[in-house]
Amino acid sequence: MKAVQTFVSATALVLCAAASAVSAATIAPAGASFTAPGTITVRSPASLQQPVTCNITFTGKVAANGSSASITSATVSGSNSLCKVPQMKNLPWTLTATSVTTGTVTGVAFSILSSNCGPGTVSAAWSNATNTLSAANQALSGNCTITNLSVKPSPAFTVSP
Amino acid sequence: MHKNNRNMRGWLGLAVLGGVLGSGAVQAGGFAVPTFGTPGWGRAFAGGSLFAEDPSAAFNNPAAMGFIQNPVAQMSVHYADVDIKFRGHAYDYQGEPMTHKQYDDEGNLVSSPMGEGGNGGFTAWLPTAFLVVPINDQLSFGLSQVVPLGMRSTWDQDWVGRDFAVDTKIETAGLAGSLSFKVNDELALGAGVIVQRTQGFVSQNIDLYAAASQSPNLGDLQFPAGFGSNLIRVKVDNVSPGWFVGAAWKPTASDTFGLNYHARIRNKLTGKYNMYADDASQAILDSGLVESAYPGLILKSGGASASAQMDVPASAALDWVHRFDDRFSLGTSLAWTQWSSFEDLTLKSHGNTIVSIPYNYRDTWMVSLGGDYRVTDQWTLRAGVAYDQTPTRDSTRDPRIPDGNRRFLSLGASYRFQSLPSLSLDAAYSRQFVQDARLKTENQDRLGSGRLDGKAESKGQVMSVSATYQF
Repeated sequence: MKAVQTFVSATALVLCAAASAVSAATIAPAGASFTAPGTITVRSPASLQQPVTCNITFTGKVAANGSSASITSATVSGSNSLCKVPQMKNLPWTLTATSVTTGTVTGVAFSILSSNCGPGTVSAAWSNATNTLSAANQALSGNCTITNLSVKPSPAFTVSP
Repeated sequence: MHKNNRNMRGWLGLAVLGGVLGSGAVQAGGFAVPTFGTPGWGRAFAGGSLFAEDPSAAFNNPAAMGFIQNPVAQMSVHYADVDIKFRGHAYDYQGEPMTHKQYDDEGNLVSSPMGEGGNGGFTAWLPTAFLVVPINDQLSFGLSQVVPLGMRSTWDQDWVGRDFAVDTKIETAGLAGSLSFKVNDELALGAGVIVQRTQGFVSQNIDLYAAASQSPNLGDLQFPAGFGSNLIRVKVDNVSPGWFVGAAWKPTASDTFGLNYHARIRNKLTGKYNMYADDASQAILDSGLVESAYPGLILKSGGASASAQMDVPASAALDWVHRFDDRFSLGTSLAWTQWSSFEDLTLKSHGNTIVSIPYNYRDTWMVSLGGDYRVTDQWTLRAGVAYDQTPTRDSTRDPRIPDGNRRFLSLGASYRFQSLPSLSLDAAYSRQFVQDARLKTENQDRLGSGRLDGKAESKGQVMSVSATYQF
């Protein structure tokens, strides 16, 4: 469960990273609401540092000027019962694109059972070609790690310099 | 008038007996507790309750009360001292030696060794009391306070076998009334009823992470075993009635045979369980993950009601006492207990099974030989030996009840006061030599699937004193 939460945080971090990139890049379509389904893998003390993989879906809205995207919810699910326990915190998280290929997600926090992860910033990678926001091995306070995150926004994002 | 005085003295004795019972703290030792007074322990239960003027007939074979001439009361106190040591190893579900795991200050998961459990035995005081009152030439009345069943094991809370057992205690305390009918000078029949309270207490750790690793509903994750602590303590009790019958036959002036049967007592124990969990385990319990992992298994961190079926097995015994002369009598007994009625220990809560541990006990036999030798008018010495089979099986034995076959060697003596010949004081010492009990068992998935490979070394001794008064 913690792993799931961590995973969620990582995703959020990645999104934040993307949002950060917006300081040097913009996200299109500006002002659009989006969903971003994918998967996340998290390690946390609650999972005894075992990686737990779940499905995750972000929802939010791109800023009117495209400078960032706000992640207002993150829903974790999956066949593994552990995916039911993460609780997202500190929403909304902010995704900023720092370049055409990088970004940050700030304010990422979640809890998994007795583990509290974050808040912190997750660095992420962005690919216009595959419309994928991804992150790997992103540590959060609370001894949590987002070991893998991959989501695809819909409608598709395009990050421009 | 003479009969009235005799009855009056008998009821006085009954009142005294009742007062003693009210102040006694009943605890049991061993598995099935022999229901004898001090003299019976001194002769290793040989001959049952057929020795002359033995008031324990009131429970063990009510028919033998028919051959007791005068009212007699007996109060015994037994002190049991049982040592149990575990020798062996414990492994987690991954086959690794069982260790305790926790996070250090830097957030690293570290392992530390676990103990061997210390002394899993116990000490206990166990009172028994009997009263027999002849009503007339044919009828006699008996009253008994006995502990027919008792077992206890106490392991350290952080020992390597904590996922199998920590504390276990099962005991019954009963009050029985009985009547005998003397058909003629050779034959007597008897019957009685018992109302007994059974108390059960079990505790053990549940390794939630190891259990989660065994559930296909949690993604086949391989969590480390031995993390944290999550102790479940179950306490249940019940009051239930039972019955018993007996026959006593004196084919010669020197021989007495007895046959008795104590019926199975069905016993549904109810109470509650409590969880004593660390923060991580409590969060798991509160999350509903346990039920997700094992549908139907609901463990509440705040505890809930609990129930268990723990029947008292039926038993029967054939006894023979031969009186060689005024000084020397010898007895032998063959006792059978229908332990096969104890198939499993199933704990339930609100209709859901918490755990069902199979035991599949087998019926047992106990054989004993012992006797009395009256050295003087004041002193009587006695001794006996017995062999008692264990109902446990190698395939299902666990540290909760690490029982083995046992041999009893008993010695005893009685002193009758010259100035008050109606009063005698009795003492007995009984040593139990218990066969090493193999403990090679694997836990259920919901208990973490750990494995024990070792043995329990046990020994026990019982010291007993009693006062017997003939009215």
